[in-house]
Amino acid sequence: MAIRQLPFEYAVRNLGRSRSRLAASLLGSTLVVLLVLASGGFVRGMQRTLVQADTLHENVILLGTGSEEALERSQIDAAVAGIAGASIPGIRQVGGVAFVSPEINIALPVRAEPDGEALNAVLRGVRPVALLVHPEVEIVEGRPPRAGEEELMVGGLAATRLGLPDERLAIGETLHFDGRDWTIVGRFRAPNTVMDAELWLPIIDLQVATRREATISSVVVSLAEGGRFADVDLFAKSRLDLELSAVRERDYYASLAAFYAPIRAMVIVTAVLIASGGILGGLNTTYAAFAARVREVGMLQALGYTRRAVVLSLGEESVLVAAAGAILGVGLGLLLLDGLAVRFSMGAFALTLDAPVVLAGLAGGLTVGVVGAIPPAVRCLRLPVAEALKAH
Amino acid sequence: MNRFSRLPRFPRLALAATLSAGLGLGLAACSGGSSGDDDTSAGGASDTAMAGRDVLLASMPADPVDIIAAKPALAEGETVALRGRIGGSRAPMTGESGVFILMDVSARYCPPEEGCPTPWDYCCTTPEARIAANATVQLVGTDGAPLAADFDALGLEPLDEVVVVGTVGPRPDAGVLVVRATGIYEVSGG
Repeated sequence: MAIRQLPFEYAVRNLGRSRSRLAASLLGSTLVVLLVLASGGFVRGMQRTLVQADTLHENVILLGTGSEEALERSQIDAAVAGIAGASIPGIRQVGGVAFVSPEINIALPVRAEPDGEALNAVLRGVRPVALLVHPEVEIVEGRPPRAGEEELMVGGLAATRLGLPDERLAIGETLHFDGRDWTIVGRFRAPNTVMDAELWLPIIDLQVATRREATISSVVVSLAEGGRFADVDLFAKSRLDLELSAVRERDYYASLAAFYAPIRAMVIVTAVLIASGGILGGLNTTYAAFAARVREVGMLQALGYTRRAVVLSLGEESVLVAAAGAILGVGLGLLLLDGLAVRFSMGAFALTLDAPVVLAGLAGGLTVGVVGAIPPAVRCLRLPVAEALKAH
Repeated sequence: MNRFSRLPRFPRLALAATLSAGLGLGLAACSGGSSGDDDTSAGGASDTAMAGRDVLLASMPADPVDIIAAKPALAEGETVALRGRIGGSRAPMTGESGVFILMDVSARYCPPEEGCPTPWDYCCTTPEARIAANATVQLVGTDGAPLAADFDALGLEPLDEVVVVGTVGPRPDAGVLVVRATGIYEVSGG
């Protein structure tokens, strides 16, 4: 036999009995969802920036032996780019230009003003071919910097990395390092890559600025269709005099992602702990709300509604508020958190609220509703009907 | 009159609508959301032949020479039996191209008690000393064509001491010594 259910309207209309309690429940659920979204967006954003699963080219980095985990430490002969381009088969080419990009990666203190505070910037010295090897980089304003002109271009998240307002890195503004003013002539975007937080300038200028004319950090090569990583690796192993290691670009960044795994775990654990606090707060509110309705619950049972039907109705109330809070939280999260820039030691990344994160947020909100309703409802029903009817 | 009776009446459908709106919001994001883990590695299948177990020699080749002693004098095309220890890089063996790096047996690598997780990379040796003590071994067939190799199946691993037999490849620089090897004798495991 089917259970006789309480009407849904009963649950809905009960929500209006105390508007302050309704607001508190709604706010609690919204905050829990925002917290889940913030921590999930942090983890996904950092992961996507470092893992680079959807790079357009299969790039291989030639870097110094022993520096496989830190490009900034790598120093290789500046001639490697030419030797590699001439020796490795299967390198992508367009119009006779081989996709071989010598680069310098370095973290340097730069200043917004000559006598201002030193800001830790990530700089990359490149040749024009870097724009072919890294097709994720798109110049959105201005032009690439010219060698010898003390010019640079800035990534979309460079301002976040430097802790400066975005307009401070507008075209025509200057940054100061190596005792000189460098004019910003271009702005680029490279979403979901560490490059987005970098400052790019001609490699020759960075070689002069860092007094390393004979060495560079790495050579990045793009493989053509059918090109093999093994051929680049063979080159590195055959030219032991150059002290090179070949690493797939995405493997390099994946190893960095693994390095940051404890930080991501800490963020998740913190979020779970705070969310648990939110759920406990929700429980407290619901306990108070349901405790005041013991007589009403007794009356419902006297009218013939089973305990299960009453629990279901109380659950409906709680889940309805939580679902509304979850939707509100997701809406606010997408509005306020999605794409928010966060600074970290490798540069900066944007909080990413993609489908899994949004679903986790909704699930978190609904959990508040379900977990917050059942224990108080069960406790409320523990009293025998006769005692419940006499309760104050 | 009960003040709650003034509240609007909701159909049960409202709960379903509220929940589905939330779910829909999440699912809508699915379309442009997650990035796949698709493997985009270039190259595809290689048509390089695999080295069989016949590449392993049953007996020690005659008159093996050490790398440090032989490297300065060996010339392209010379036949050599070269003794060394597999290592000299964090990943000294690449099966896909049948290549590994050898270090002179006298070169010092981090002993196990130092706790170095990759002692075979000879990280405690200076670059100059490493270049003087290393050589590249590329497995080739009897026709001289490069072979791929499953080093696990051949029972070879970093820090194994081996003697390889083959001919010396081009030497564009005194620091480069590539031996195109047709046979490997394992002297001892690492």
